[in-house]
Amino acid sequence: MRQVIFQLFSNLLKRKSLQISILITTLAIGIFATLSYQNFLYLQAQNISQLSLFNEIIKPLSGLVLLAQLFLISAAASQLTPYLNDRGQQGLMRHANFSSHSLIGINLVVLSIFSLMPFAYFCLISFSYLQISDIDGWLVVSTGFALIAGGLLFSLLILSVTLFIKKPLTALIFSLCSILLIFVLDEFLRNQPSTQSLSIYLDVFIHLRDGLIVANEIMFLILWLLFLYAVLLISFQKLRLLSRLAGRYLLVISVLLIGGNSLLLKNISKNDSSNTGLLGGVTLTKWDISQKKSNSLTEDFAQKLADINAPIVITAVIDDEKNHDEIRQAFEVIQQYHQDTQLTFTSRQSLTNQSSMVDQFVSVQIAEQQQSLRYPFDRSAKEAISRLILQLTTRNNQWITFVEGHGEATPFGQSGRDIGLFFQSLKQLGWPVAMQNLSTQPIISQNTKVLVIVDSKKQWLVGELDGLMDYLKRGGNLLLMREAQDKLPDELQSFLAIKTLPGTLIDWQGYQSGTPHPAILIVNQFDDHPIMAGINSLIAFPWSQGLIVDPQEQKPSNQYQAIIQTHKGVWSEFNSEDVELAFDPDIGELRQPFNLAYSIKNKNNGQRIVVIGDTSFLSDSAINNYANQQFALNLISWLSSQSFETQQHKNRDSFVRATPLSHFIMSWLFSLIIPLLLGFIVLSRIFKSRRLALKPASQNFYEKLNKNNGPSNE
Amino acid sequence: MWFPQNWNPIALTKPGLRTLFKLMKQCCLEIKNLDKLLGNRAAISQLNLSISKGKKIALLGLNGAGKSSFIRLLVGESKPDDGQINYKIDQPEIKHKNRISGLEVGPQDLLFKQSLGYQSDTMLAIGEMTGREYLNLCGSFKKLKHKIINKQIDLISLKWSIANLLEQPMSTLSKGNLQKLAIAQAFIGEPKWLFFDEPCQSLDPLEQDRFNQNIKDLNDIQLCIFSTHNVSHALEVADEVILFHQAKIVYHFKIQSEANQVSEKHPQYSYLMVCKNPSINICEFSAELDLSIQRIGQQVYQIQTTKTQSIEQLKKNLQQESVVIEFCLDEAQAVMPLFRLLASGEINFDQHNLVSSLQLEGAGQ
Repeated sequence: MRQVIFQLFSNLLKRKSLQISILITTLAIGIFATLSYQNFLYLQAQNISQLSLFNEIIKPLSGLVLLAQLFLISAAASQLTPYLNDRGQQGLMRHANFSSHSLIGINLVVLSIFSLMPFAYFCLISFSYLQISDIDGWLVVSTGFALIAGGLLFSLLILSVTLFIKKPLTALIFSLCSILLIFVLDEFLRNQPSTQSLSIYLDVFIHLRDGLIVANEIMFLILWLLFLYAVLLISFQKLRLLSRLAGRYLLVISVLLIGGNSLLLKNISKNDSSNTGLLGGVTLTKWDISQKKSNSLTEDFAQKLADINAPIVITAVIDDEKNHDEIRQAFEVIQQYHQDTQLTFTSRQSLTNQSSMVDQFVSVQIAEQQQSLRYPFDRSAKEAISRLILQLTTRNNQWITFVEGHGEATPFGQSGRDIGLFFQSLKQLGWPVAMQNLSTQPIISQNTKVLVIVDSKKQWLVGELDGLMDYLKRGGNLLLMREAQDKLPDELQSFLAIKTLPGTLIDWQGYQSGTPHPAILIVNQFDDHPIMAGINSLIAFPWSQGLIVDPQEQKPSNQYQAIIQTHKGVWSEFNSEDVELAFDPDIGELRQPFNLAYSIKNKNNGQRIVVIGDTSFLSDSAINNYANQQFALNLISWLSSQSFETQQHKNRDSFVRATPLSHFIMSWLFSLIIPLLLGFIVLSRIFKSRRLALKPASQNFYEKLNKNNGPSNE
Repeated sequence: MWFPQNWNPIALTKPGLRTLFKLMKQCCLEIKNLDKLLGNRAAISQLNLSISKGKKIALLGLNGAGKSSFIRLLVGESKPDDGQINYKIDQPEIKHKNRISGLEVGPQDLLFKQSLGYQSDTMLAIGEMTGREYLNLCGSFKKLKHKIINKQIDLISLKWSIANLLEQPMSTLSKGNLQKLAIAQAFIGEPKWLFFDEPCQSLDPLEQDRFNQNIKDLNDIQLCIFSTHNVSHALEVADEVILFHQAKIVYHFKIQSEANQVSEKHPQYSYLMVCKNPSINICEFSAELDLSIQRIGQQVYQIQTTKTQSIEQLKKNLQQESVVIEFCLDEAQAVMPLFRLLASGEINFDQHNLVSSLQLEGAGQ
């Protein structure tokens, strides 16, 4: 069998039409990969939120690769049996000394080799990206499986369609039409509520690309493969004038299985899972293999969902049906953990005649409580809806309160120091946020989960301090951001037992590497702290101060842990306003690794406090740099003991670590060098075959024969 | 158990039975009631045939007689609408499924296909494939190993003089050279069952001679069947000739070679005679002249005798009775005149009275 496969494949490879097809698909994939890479670099420089290399490059690339596979399979299949039929050589298949199963295998393998060419190119490109970014490898693997499954499915389909066609061009047209028909049918099945679970391939492809393996879909795909194999077997038996009984039995079995599976999974619609039939529980099983677990929820949140005793009703007021998919996907994830979840779609027009006056939104209702969020979201639908649900369940005691009244950075100011963007991020995440002036409202309520003090510039009144200390003593959480010359009550500093070191931290090395000012620290050395989990990028701290734990004030019930440390070349500059900055140990400046942030955890009451020697990192002018926003949100998450998963965080693959070599590879290798190489090989083969055709009679043949066998009698 | 169609009661005598059994043992192809329609037209009609092992059979007939359709049915290219085609595999060591060796297989059976060599009249070039690659591909489809294929290619290329074609793309070959390659590929795998459909078309006289010689030299085969329009070549090469006309076998005879005539103790001579509107019953002369005369069609008679002088006497007698003899020739020489008369519709054969000279051979003994 291997020999036949090799012969057929090498002959197909000689056909100019296939050579050109391979060249075109390689060029298309290479150019797309390069353009996507360039585009990604641009987006990375723009510091776009939620940037993900996998979503921006690998996902769309996989779609193109699938199309390339289908094109090559069609081109190869049209040159296989139809070409032999056209040349009067159908006897080769008909009289072959192989069973029909073997012949099917031979044809499938030959087509699969062609289908694997764009796939191999895709793997090469993905592997290159894996070296320069933290792409989720499992997503790439599952995407690969989706492509392989697609190649197999469509190979079977196209082989069945082209077996009896006598002209290669007709076969090509029929193949492409049948592919289009399958996609149209698949899309139709997916869009009808009663047949949503009958998708042939598209659902499998989309879900596998997201790292989600759905048992039902895989089962259906296998059944469809069985069905197509039965059709192909009948066709081959007919071609060879053999009995088609076995093929017919297989066809009937596969049809019964597909129909039976559909009936057993009654009521499997995206909106109603209350009656899933006999095997519904099994077939609804899903596995999320992505590292980010974007298709599943954390244990904490899953537990919270399980604890909700009321139905969760999600209403999406979204006009465009194309946007329904992402809401539906988020709904499916939540439904895995809370069966009694419902989703309804409606349009703005159905709510009011003046639809232009109303924004699109998604609302979540649990019992009598309801919360809405404007659509489109600025993060994934799953995160947004999860936050809504979390907010509803913990609404009464999860406030983030910002202290004001002492010149603190305010969310409502216009200066670069202010924290409007951070404040808005918290709101958009669904956090209830508030400002509190302790002079007018000295009592900090029990609903406050985290109190935030951002660079107090004025003295605190006694009453304010009392309110604050009272809050802290009863175990309230605190986020305190310090600046040079800030005014903090001594009692507070004593309570915290963390002091600032004099001087502004200067990073001369960073400045030489490209930071705008030596006083802007770029830190990438993080201690092993839960707050730093998921942060793989740098954090910028402009005009920061080092922190130190005061051993005399240190309390035994508190656990102090450093979060961020600078490198050892940083020094504390006392005259940071000078034009020329230089380390001067004589005046007491220190050059050492400095701790920029500390966490304090009370072992008795679970109180959590974070002190940071900088405020500017989350100011409006700096929060969108590097991982600053993520760090700030992580602080809130840890302080409020929330699962990080439900918080917005930057994707691991949000940036590329481009080296000159990798940049060259991404820019030139795939789009130019490899296609050129292929083109050169194709041309040289064409010239070689022409030279061979013009070569005189093979006198060498007799010399070779005589050498092997002795003199001939010819 | 099977019985040959149109068996003669004479064959039931003891020597006849012995011969029958001998024939049964040697038979390698048996066809019963074969029918094939192409559209509304009968391509093959109620065909019955038995062929012994090791024979080389030539199929002759006018255009559209059914020769190619017959060959396509024999090799499994098409399926009959009715009837059976059975081959006897004569390899005791081979077991197929639950069958024991020596039993019958059909044209679609893998056991048959692995020993099949077939050249079709519609084979065209496969693009950029060279001759060698094409032969390699044919060998691969027969599940042969690469080394064996290469060896066979070397031998075949010498025998069929296609060495200069092996390295050339098939698309550059002339029609005649393609035909040589098509014939050569039939011999890949040392087949036992060989079928050629118009093998000599497009071949130059030299190559036709080569074909004839190679076919004559064939031994250790089960069966070789080829169709041709060249009567002299057919008579030169084949052991037996089958005449087709209008989807039927009208006549089937063995070539009487001189060597056979000399070696046999009582050589048998077979003649075909066509008389125009005989007013007397010619068969009555059988006993008188020690001839075996049988009417096998309208105005067509088959005459068998051991004495050639009897034929001359018969002619004289018939002339005396004013019977116009169109011709009276031995079977080989009668082919062309027979076709002429068949084409003009002046004669036809009675199917139920058709007696193959092969079956009478046994009776005569």
